[in-house]
Amino acid sequence: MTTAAVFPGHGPEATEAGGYVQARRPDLHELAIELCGIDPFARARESTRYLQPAVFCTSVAASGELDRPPAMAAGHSLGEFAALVLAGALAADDALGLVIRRGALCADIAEQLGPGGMVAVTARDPGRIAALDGLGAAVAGDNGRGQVVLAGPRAALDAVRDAAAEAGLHASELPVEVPFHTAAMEPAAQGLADALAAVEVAEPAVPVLSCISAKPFADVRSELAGALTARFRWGAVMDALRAMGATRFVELGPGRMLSSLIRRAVPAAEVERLGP
Amino acid sequence: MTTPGGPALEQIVLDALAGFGHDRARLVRDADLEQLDIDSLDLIELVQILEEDHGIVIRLEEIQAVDPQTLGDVLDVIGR
Repeated sequence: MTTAAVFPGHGPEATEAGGYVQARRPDLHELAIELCGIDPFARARESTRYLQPAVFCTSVAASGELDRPPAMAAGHSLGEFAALVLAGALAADDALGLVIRRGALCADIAEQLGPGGMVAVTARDPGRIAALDGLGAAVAGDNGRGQVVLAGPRAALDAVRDAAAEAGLHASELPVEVPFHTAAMEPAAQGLADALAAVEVAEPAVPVLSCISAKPFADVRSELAGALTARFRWGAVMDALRAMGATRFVELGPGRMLSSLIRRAVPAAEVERLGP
Repeated sequence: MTTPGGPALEQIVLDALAGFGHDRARLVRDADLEQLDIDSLDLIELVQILEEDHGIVIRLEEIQAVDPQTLGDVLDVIGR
């Protein structure tokens, strides 16, 4: 049994996880309150500014429940930070500071851009997603199994939803207010790169796959910052973990989104989740 | 196209869910959706399979409107 630890990105379920984190990692919870100037769990519904540290703390707390060290790890978007903490590449305190900075930078962009976000479109035949080109939304990434995520301003997302309905595709809006993984995030990527320059990065104890390259991180600082503007490739990450021998996947953190995707992509695998 | 109903329809739904990686043996009417780990992505794919492969048109919103708790709840909506 070869275990892969996987960490979700944005998970609205983290808004309810304050007690879970307080019980398992009171030190991290207290540091989050100190660095945010407020309990991020109490405000996580309001903004990605607080949701990001809430998700991160939940995932780090869940990591403590693993029965044995995993052979490999990967994170979906924001989840990369908790994956790198588990692998010892980043100290949890440093990573929390980075995530809080990332959340603030992303929230600032959302406020400047105005209403917008992301929408997930599911098609059994991925070729049909092409019907959504040219509507002002950018492809932010893919989740595998025919699910593509687009991001952009409100009007573009509405156009995507309408076009998807006409094409017989299912589109569902994601509970985020930021067009993550698109060029609009460039200022945040630069700010995060500056913050990353000030933290220590160690060699990961186990391979941690980047959700952009679907390969083990080669340069943690540049890849974490660059991920904000690059398309995520979760489908390729699941394939890579399977190719590396993973037979058991444990999702650590809020929600169950990754478990659902992995169950489809790797039907023979054992899929578990640990979290609130 | 003649659309299947009754036991044939139920078989189509259960086969589809098993195809998504769910344990076929646990797919019984009174099984709790949360315990089965059946989520919205499953229901989206199920709706697409029903329409594209079997000509059964049902919107995801129709299923979600009954706030299904068990697999039987889902089967009942689709079979209406």
